[in-house]
Amino acid sequence: MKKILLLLLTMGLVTHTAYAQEETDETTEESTPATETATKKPARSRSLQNWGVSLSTLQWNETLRVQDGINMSRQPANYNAITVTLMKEITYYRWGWSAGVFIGSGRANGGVPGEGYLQDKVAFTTYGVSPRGFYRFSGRINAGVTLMGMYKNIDWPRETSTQIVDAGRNLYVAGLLDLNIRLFRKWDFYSGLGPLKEGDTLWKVGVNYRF
Amino acid sequence: MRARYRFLLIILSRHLEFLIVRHIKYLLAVFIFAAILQTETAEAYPDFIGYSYSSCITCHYNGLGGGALNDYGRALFAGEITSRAVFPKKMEDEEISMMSGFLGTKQLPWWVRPGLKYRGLWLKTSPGSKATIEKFYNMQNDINMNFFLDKKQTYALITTIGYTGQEAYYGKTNTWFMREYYLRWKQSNNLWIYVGQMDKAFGIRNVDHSAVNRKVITLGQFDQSQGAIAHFTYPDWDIALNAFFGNAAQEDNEKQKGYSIAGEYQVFEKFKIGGSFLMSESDLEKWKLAAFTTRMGLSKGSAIMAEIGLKERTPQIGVTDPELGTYALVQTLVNLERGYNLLSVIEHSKRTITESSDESMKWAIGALMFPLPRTELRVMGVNNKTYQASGGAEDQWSLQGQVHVSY
Repeated sequence: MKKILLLLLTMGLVTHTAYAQEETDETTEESTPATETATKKPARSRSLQNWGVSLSTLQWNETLRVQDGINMSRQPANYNAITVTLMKEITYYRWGWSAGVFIGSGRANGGVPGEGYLQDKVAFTTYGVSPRGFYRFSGRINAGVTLMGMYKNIDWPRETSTQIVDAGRNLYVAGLLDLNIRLFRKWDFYSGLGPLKEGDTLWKVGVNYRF
Repeated sequence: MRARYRFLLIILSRHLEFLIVRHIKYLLAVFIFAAILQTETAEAYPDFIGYSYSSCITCHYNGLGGGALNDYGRALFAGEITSRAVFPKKMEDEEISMMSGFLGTKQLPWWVRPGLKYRGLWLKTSPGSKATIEKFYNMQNDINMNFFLDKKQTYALITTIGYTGQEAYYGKTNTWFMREYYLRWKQSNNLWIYVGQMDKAFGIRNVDHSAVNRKVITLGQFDQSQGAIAHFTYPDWDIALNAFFGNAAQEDNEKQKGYSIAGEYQVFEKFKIGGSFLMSESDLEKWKLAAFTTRMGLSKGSAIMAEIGLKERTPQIGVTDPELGTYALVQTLVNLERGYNLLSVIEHSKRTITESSDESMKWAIGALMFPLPRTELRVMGVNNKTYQASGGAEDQWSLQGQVHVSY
């Protein structure tokens, strides 16, 4: 795990291009030749690109189907993970988009005391992609939609040899409405929320660092 | 549209009901009715650092925020915060501000500044399910009466009389009570002294009294306390020292007696960091609180603020270990256009961190609007998550609508 994180971080550092939405003079798709700058006004920048890394928490709930013989019950389960995302962001004057890959791990609780199944702090891992499109209200505020495609790996323990615990599907696709706030030159606060399945909600809250 | 009128009628009828039932003069009731129909301003919030108003004393009589607005605060809200859609385009903001007084453009004598405040909450829990519950709360019915001994307002008496409906004020419902009353002495531009019953100096005074940094840590809407505050204010920093002795309406054994310290430092324009500490005890329980606060203006009208704290509660009855817990609140206000804002509030709290305990999380997202003068509306969706110490728990959703009239 450490090696993968190290690799992702190294890739980000090696390939970083630019950083800020506001710093329009640094890296733009349109560049103005030096000989022309003396006589012409600088061309207006069209876009900015930068790499970043995000540290976020993911929280969601879902329903477990616990079957023991002929008895079947539905039990609530809560998942709580910390993820690291490597992302690339391209920003235009009013709009922008980004794409990221993430990996994380966490703990889950499931079941209800006295109702046939109860497990706490069950370890799981998750990974996926998180493309995002957003609208910029200002240089420091943007809001948009993140499309979370994520996969979870969890093995809920059985409490009896005849018990079957079905955690539902492992692959999710969810749309999060989100808000990204530029706190400092290189730091953002990100928060996103959206429906995962019927009655289940996914939260993503974290900080982004731009290289 | 019909539902909207019915909602307004419920508000108005309840407002009038308590006035008339309590034998307030008919003329006053008519006056308030007219005020609701012809309203002008709203209330200042700590988020308004986004407008570069980083100090509470700019808009409030209380330098730590909350309570009645001063003349400048009224004018600023009418002329900068509230939508001006109901005014002709040719009307200047200054003209709108001039109409923000209690009697509109008519000047009151310099020695008195009254105010009225109403806040009602419509709440629908678990919408769409069979277990849904719908309620309407009259949360706040306040009359502010503020008196001054001199034109420079060096000496002031600030009072707020409240009326509680079904929400009990120390065991009493449907009754009038003195929410706050204190003398304010402006010793100099850098030192303000407050003596009387008022909110304790601690943390960010955000308006939602049910937030993790308010009611559950003895800083709720009824937790004003008798005592004294010395508030030192300078351009880049301020600090308040507060000694307090409990609320006059409380039983003696319930009164939290202690002290608190709260301060903020302006790192750069529109960015403040702060800290607070509180220690108090009654015969029933002892509290220690510590918090880090920050407020940051993002662009005009938009801001983010956060309070992260430790809370230690020690029951005084029986042999019980202290419960050391945590709480955090992050609130983001995004101004979409004048008078209309997107509001997001994320809260987290944990009763104790020394042993396994439930974690409560709440995310409220919606609109904070000032569509008409003196009127605030909120429409919020609230998602509650609980990470229990053992087992799982389902999400809870609720819808909230709030109307706030500040005259």
